[in-house]
Amino acid sequence: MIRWLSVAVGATLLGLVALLATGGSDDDATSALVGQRTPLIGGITTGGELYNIDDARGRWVVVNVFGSWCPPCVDEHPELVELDRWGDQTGEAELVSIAFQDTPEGIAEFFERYGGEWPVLNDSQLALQLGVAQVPETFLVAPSGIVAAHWAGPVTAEAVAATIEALEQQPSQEPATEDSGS
Amino acid sequence: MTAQARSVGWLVLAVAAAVLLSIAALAQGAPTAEDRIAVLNQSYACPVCDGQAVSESNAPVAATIREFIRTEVARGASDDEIRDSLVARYGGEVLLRPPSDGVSTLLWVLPVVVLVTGGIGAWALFGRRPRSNESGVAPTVGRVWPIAVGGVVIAVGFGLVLAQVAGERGVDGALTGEAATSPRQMVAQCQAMAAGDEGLVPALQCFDEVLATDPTNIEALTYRGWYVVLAASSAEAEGDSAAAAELIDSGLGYLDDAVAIDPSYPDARAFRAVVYSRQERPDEVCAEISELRALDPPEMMLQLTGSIAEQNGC
Repeated sequence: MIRWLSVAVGATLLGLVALLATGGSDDDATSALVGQRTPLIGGITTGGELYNIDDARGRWVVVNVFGSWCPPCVDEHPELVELDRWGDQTGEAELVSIAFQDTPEGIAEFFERYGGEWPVLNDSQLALQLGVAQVPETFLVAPSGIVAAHWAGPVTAEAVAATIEALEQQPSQEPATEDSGS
Repeated sequence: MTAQARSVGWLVLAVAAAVLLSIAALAQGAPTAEDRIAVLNQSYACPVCDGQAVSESNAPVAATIREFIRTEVARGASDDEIRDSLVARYGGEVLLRPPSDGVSTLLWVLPVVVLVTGGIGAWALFGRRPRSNESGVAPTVGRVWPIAVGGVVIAVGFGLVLAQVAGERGVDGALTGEAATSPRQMVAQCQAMAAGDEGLVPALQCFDEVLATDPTNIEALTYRGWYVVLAASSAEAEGDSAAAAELIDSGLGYLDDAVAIDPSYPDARAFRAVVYSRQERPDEVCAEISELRALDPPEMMLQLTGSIAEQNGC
């Protein structure tokens, strides 16, 4: 009996070890939002205008989450400026930024220094709705309102434009099965 | 007293201790909102901090989750609703402690079972053998059985108490599967609808249902008004200025009602300031923002009205 008890304890311990060993966290950066309808992204922009992403239905919307305090966001910003210019010229896409844990002063100084004129929402809770953990992160919302792609980390204008063009080739603008970003 | 009687005595004492612990855990009084916030902040992991609780982290995302928890608690959301929202956005890894229900309970119970059972096994194997050898009598299987079974029962009891006390349940004492839905919970559902896949129209209908049963629900009034104001921007984008103006007026009516019922509700003040700004009524904007600032509003509302205050020289 004692032997069986010991065997049972040993087997239970082994089971626990196996459970812990195989139950590790999923470290990939995929966003659960890809393929889903975008949450309501709206509010008052830093320019004092009402913004509602639903107004952009029928166009691609690039939603960039950034912080004026974030060095990779500074590095990324020229790409967004270029993307905004490309979107204006082609009419393919528009840009909206969500400032994360930021201040109106910080945002104003950031755009004054690095350029760019597009709607900015200073609302960290919107970023939380998108499941943003670390800025910069970028979401591409299809004309249908479905989140089509997601990039964790700095994005390039070329990558976004290429993704839009690739998705436009698909019959129903189906979202990518995996995140486009790193 | 025989050895067997002593064993039974210890067993009874241990069971009594487990029962008392359970009663103590379940009989704790209702925690305050600040208690709930503190416990919740300790219950969620900062998504970028390798297991650190959001309460301990300086990461921006941890601050955002803390703000979210505070806002949700103030809004009347249950712990389950807060957990579901955070898990939906950041995955199960955001749970610092496994939930105390279903299969996850095993994670709490099994280690205690293993520890106690292992201890009993070791004691039975090594602790009693010398005495048996001294007396020249082989170890009695019949004596080990009740002790082992009793030990497992106690271990399971302690594991369950641990799960109840240290698991996610116990923050507001709410049990899962509540049958009734309060107006507050319904408002939370309406807000989730507006922020989720359902869109604005079902959300507005949802608010109307709340108001049908609770016409003075300030949260329902406030957020119904606000979402109508947001809908106005869609009408304006489509070039229908008349419809946009009508929607703004309609939204403002709900906000006015909310402020009339409870002048100290900051969200209604903030949203009304936004509407006044849109209607180019700077004096009213500044008056609302002045009232808002006096209310110690959530950071989110200050952010919302920050640029408006600047533009209107408040």
